[in-house]
Order: sequence, then structure tokens, then C-alpha cells
Amino acid sequence: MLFNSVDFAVFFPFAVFVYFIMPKRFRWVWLLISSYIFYMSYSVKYTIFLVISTLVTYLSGILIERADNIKDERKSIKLKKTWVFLSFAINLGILFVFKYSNFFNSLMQKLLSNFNIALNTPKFNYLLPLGISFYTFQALSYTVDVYRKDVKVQRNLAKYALFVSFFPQVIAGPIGKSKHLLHQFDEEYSFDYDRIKNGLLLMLWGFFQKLFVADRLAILVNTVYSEPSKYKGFEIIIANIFFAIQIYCDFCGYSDIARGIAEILGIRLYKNFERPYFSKSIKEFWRRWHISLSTWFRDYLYIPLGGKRCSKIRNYINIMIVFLVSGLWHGAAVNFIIWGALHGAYLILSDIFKPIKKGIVNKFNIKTDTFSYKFFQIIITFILVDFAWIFFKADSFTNAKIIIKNMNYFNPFVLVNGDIYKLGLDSKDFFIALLGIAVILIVNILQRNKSLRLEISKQNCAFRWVLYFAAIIVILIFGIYGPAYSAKQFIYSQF
Amino acid sequence: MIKKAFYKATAFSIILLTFVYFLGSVFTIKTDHGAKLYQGLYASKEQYDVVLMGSSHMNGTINPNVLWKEYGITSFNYATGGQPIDVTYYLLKEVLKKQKNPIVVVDLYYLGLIRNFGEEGYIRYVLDNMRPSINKYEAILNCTPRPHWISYVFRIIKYHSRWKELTEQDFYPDLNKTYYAKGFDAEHIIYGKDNTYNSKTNEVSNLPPKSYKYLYKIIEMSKKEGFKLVFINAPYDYNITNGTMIWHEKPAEMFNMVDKIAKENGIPFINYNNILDEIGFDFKNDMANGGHVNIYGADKVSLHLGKFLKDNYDLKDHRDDKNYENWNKDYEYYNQVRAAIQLRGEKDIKRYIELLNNENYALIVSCSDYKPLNIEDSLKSIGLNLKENYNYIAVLNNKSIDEKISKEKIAKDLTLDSAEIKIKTCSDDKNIPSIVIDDKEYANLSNGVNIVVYDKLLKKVVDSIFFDNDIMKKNRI
Repeated sequence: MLFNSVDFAVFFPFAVFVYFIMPKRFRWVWLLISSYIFYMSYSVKYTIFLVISTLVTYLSGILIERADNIKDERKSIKLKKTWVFLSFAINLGILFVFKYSNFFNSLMQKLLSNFNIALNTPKFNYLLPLGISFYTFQALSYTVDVYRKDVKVQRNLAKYALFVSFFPQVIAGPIGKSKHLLHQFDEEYSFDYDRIKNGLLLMLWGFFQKLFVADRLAILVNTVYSEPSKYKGFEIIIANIFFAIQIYCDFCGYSDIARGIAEILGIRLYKNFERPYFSKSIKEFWRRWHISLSTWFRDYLYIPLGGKRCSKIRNYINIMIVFLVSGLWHGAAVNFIIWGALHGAYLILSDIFKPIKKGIVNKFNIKTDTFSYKFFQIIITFILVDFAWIFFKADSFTNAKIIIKNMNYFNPFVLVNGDIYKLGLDSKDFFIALLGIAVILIVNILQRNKSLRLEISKQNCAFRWVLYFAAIIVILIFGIYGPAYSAKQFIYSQF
Repeated sequence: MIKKAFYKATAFSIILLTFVYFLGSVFTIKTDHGAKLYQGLYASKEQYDVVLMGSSHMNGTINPNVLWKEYGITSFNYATGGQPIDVTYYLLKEVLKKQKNPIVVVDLYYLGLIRNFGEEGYIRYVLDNMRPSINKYEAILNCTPRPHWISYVFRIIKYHSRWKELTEQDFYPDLNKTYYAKGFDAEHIIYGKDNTYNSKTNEVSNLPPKSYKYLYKIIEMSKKEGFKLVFINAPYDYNITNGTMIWHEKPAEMFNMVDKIAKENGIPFINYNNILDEIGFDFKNDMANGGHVNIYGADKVSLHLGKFLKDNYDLKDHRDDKNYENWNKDYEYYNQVRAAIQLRGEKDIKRYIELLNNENYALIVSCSDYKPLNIEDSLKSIGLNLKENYNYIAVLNNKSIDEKISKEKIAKDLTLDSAEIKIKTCSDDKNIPSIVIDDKEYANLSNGVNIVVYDKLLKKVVDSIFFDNDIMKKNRI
């Protein structure tokens, strides 16, 4: 069940209600049950992989701890490393089979066909188990955290299973790390009116981002990207800008709903986005975009690879590895690898050109502490990020090339001659789309030094309620959701 | 704290649900079907002798105004386009909440539907316009597929994207504008084709399962509630549903089965397709298309049904009853609306001019520089005295004429009932006749003899034409 589905609208209040009438010490048991109900509503069959991932990492924790007690240090470390390796191998193995086997197969076939070798491997015809990329990473964080002694071993299998399957995040994150999340399930949470209200408010904001903004922008974006050769210049530029905002609102909206749900239950999840499009560099962007994933890569891949504590070249290689893997994580296709490689290249190049940039700034006496300079940096960063998104969104490398080629056409007249309203959003919807973007922008600006939820809670009850009702009604009316409506349906055709 | 939260949450939910309900009403598409169900189910305080149920076949076939005029029977036609039989069952339950013991006449065309659910749009004609009640929610559960349930309960889910097309009508819908028709609505066009189904059969064929179930539910309800039931099947060409995949393949055999079921349960079933000759039904001229009778066909079937009801049931003639005076008024109004439709549809000039002879009509005429027409005699017959090369203005009202004739431009302002009328032989912009009524221009399209027909009963312009070179053309109205 999706968060914006009728099923969830029934499931969630029920789950919360039962949660709070249960005695405090058993509440986590109910959460585990609800989480499995939630996951099994998608697929009962595929729940087996969630269970395997849970069991393997759970065991790895116990075995690592046992190995830790061996007096012979060399033997102990060797054994611990073996368990870590096995845990990663099994988890990533399942992930690989489902997500990447077909991709690498076809890649191999293409490669070998260059040498006139025909490779006939059976195609793997199974759907990707939902959320596997997310919960696998979440579970693996536990293996490493135990190895590093960042977290105590969890002996209670059921409680550990809850950590891996916690329903607000199991499908699409935010990816929790055991050192941050696991202990929270040991605590007891009472009914806290303000916390629940805050959680609901966050969910509401999430729904606004998703239904009002992201899904509306998606209509235009999908129109252009489904037939890129039909569009040129500003049509593509607008689609690209819209996509940048769409993917942000979609993902951030989802994360906010997940965080809101967790908050109602008393669990604090990672903030996944920190106004990323206000970043002044690509490096900063990655500190603010999909934070739960980028910190995962930092903690469990970049640092083990040696991170920055090595030669420049080695560091650049590390960066590239992280971003190529990140690209692959997002999807098994060449586009995603290019997208990752682009970001890796951005980071490496910005490091290489750092002295030159400094030289220019000094030579021309450019003031860097001004609004205009910072604004310039934000715009440049946005353009770079948005350019990379082309590869993320296009469903093939060919289409990405068409998009880039057709973008080079100066047709600002489409903005005034009405052509821009032929991309799936008519003038009224286009206006609402811009309004949505404006709201996102203003809220992001206000969030810089204020907690909006706190500010709202300071207001009088009447104002707050009017605000809540207005927000819900605006989403109900202008959100993109529900069965399609067409007036034609109501024209009584005689036969 | 939990208590406080509970109270607050309850208050919040109630206010929110009220908003959502109100939004649903505003956003729901406004159809004539919705308006008439409002009239018949909620606005009307009358007890009808007869209630008419079914799909479009019933909607356009049995005319309550004919039943009234000829037999003094009061009735309301609750049928809506494409209404599946399961929806009919729940709508009947809704009707019976107010109507105590009426004779229920059901058209059974839709028994032929073999799909489990009807078309969403057609179901919505009914369910979206029912007020919240247990019956409505039962209907939603039984007549619509599960994924749609929520959008019937909260209509905003279905209609929210109408925000772009909302008009004043959505906020203040004129739900009573067709009150005089008592739910009836038929086409005035003529099909012009013969019935392609000519065979006769005694074979029987089973009803689709859902139809069978709901037919019996209706029969059982009549036994339990003690109301009288009459089944009919309005005239139509049985072949029109051929090859539609969603319809019973052998309607004639299916209706033989219905006949059997009706007999077993002591319910009269009039299959009009078997007695077309008997009622003098002329398929070519009495149908609007292969599926539906037109207004003339409706007259014939309504007359027959009215007589059948009169002869077989104890129905009082209310025509002279003072308490039913509004029925006579409504009939007059209905008749005038019908006349207006006929007038607008008439293409023959002579017959058109004959139709202008209606005591409720006031004719406003303007002509600049008259050039003789072949139809001059016809124009004279209604009292217009046009003269070659002269400008002419006339108002024909209550069989008297107020006219002006001159070589100069003529203009005249007058008030008719409460309508402000401004007539000119030469408009300021185009130098051609202009007739403005309540600030709206009804002529000013062409030279020639311009005639605007104002209906004093309907209190509006019903047609505007001009004769130019012996051809009758329409002005916009």
C-alpha cells in the first residue's frame, strides 16, 4: 500500500490506535506485526528476502561479537572480517541477482559479441522485491556498526527484525543506520499530543510536496521525456527545471511522510533533505541531498576505501568508485552510471580547479561574501545538478543525447505563444505548478533559520486550524490523485 | 491528555468532513439527471400515484404530463440514462422512503447488461446525487467496484480536477429548472428507419446472474412492502445491442423469460415490442433512434400505459381536485416548452408560421427596406402588413398589432410583461434590423424580415429567425 492510498488511510490510523492502547512494553511487538502486514500487502512471496536479510545480519552481529571474544587477536580480526564479508556477500548477492543480473548479462553479451562470442544466459524474469535496495543497506549498517563496536549486539531477534522492517521506511527510506535507530526501539513512548501533531503536520507537508507539486510537474516532464525528439529549446529547459523540482518534491515529500509517521509513533528518523538546491557547490549538494544514503556511502564505503586519508589520485579514485556505485544503486542502467560518473567528475574537477578559482577570485578582487556571489554559486550548482538529472530521467542514453541536442535551440517565444501549455499542463495547471514551486521555494527559504512547525505551534488555535483546513483542502482540490475524471464519461451515449 | 486529544481530533474530523462533503457537492458534475432526482427525491412534497423507474428507455418513454392530462394520474419519472438494474433497486428504495405505496412501473431494458457493474458515469448520475444515508452506502457497496467505493463516498476524490471548469452553476445550481417535466425527457427528432428485428420467438433464455438477482430483489421488496409492481419494456430495435459484448445476445428470448417470471409472481409485464401495431406505433416516425422512442412515440406508449393503469388499478382522477391545481399549471408550462422545441425544430416555412399562432407568443418584427417575398401571404395571415421598399416594425401580441411603417429609419422601445424591448430597423453598427430584449441582441445578423418569438408564459425568447430571399434562417438566441 502506498502512503497515498485508501488502504493506507485505513491501515495507518488503525495501527496508531492499537499502538497507543497497547501496554508500553509491548508496543514494539505491534510495530513489528504492523510492519510485516504493511510489507506483505505488497507481496507475501517477497517477504522471504526481507526475512533472509534480517536473519543474516542478525546472525552476523552475534558471530562478530563471539569472534570478538577470541583471545588471539589476529584470529579474532580475521574471523570478524569473514563474518562481515559473508553478511555483505549474501545481502548484496540477493540484491545483485534481482537488480543487476540482467543488466550485467546484457552488458557481457554486448562485450563478447564484439569478439564474435555468443553468450546464452537465461534471462532472470522476476520483479525486484520492493524496497530491497533500502532495507538491505539498512540491515548491512548493523553488521558494520557491530564490527566497529558503534552499536551493541541485539540479541532479541524480533526487535532486530523490527529495525529492518519498520514500515514507514522499509520501502523507500530514509535508510536508518543501526547506531542511530536500533536503540530507539528499546525505549518506551507515551502518547504525546504535541509530538503527534507535529508528525501529522510533517505528513501533511509531505503530501503537499508529492501530490500538489511533484505529481503535477511530472505530467509536463513525462510528456517531454516520452518523446524528446518532438521538443526543443525552452520546452526541454522547462522540463528539466521541472524535473529537478519534481524529483526533489517527490522524494523529500515521501521522506517527510515517512518521518511524520515515525514521529507519531515516537521514532526519530534521519532528515533526508536539507534544502539541497540552495547548495553552493556539488560537494555541499551531496551533504544535503538524500542524506541517509550519502552518509551510508560515506560511512560504509568511502571511509573504508581510505576516504581522504590517502594520496590525491587515490582519493579521486575513491570518489569515483562511490559515485559509480551510487549510480548503480539508483538503477541498473548505463544512464545511472553516467549520472554517477558526472557527479564524481564534478567533485574531482572542482577540487582540481580550486586553486585556479581562488586565483581568479583574488585577481579580480571578487567579493565572495556577498549575496550576488553566493547566488551565482547556487545557480551554477543547480545547472550542473540539473544537467546530470537528464541522464537520470531519460530512459535511454540515446534519449539523453536527443534531449541535450534539442536543448540547444533558442525559442523563448514558446513561453508566450501558448506552446508551453501544450506539454500536458494547460495554462491553469501551469500556473498552479508555478505557485507550488513558489511555495516550496518560500518554505525552503524560511526554513533556513526557523522551524516552521514551531512557529505555527506558537500561533492561536483558530489560526492554526484555519491553516490546517486550508492546507488539506488545497491538497484535496489541486492534488494530482484519484481516478481520472473526464466529462465525456457523463455524456450519455445512446448505445 | 488523551481525552483532550480525542475531543480535539473528533471536532477536527467533523469540521473536515463537513468541508469535504460541501466540496463534493460543489465539484460534482451537474447533470439534468442530478437535477431531476433532486426534484423527485428531495424537493417534492407530493405523494405520486405512480413512480416510473428504469434507464433512458423509461426516461424518454413514459410522460407524467400525458398521464396527468389524459387520466389525472400523478407520477414522477425517476429513470436516468444507462441506469443498471442494481442501481434501480437502490433508487427505488430511496424513492419509497417518501412515497408510500405507489404503483411502481419499471422498464426492464437494462436486465440485458451482462457485466457485473454498469458504466461509472451512469451509476454516478444516481449515486452522486443521493443524499448520505445507509441506503446510499449499501448501494455503493453493491453497485460499484471496490476501488471506486471511496470516490463515491467522498466525491471530491473523483471530481477535484474540475477546479478548472467550475462555474457559478456549480455553486448555485438551478436544480428546479425542469420541474414541470416531472423527470421526463424525450428527443424531438425522427429516426426514419424501420425496425430491423422482425422475428417472433417463443424460446426463453436465462437472465444475466446479477440482473436475475436484482429483478427478484425488486419483486421481493414489492411483496414485503406491499406496493404494486408493473414491468414494461419500451419499444426499441433488439438488434442495436448486437455485438456489444456487454449485452445479452438474445434480448427477445430474455424478455420471454421475464414474462415467465412476471406471470409466476402475478406481476403484469407489458412488452411494447410485442404490441407495437396494437398501440399504433410507427417505428420510423415514433423513434428518435434505434434505441429510444421520440416525443411522439412517448405520447403513444404513455397513453397506453395510462389506460392500462386506469383500467386495472383503483386510481382517482385528480384533474378537478383543487389540491392538484399546480399539476394543471405545470402541464401548461410543459406544453409551452414542448411547443418551443417544436417551433425551433420546424424547417418548413409555412408550417413554422402556422406554429406561431400560439396565444402565449408575442412576435417582435423588424424589417428594413422590405423586398417582396413568396411567403408574403403567410406573413399576411398572421397580420404583418409589409410594403415594398418601406421600413417596418411590428409587435403582435394578444391578437392585436402595433405597427409602424415608414421610408425613414424607425425605432421603438416598449415594455412587454417585464421585458424591456428595443426595436430598430437600422442598427447603429450594421444598418440592419436590431431587436434587443433585456439588453440582449436577438437580431442584427441579416437584413430581411426579422422575427423574434417571445413566450409570455415561459418569460423568454424561444426563437429568432429572419426571412431573406424566401429562405428562413436562424438568428442566435
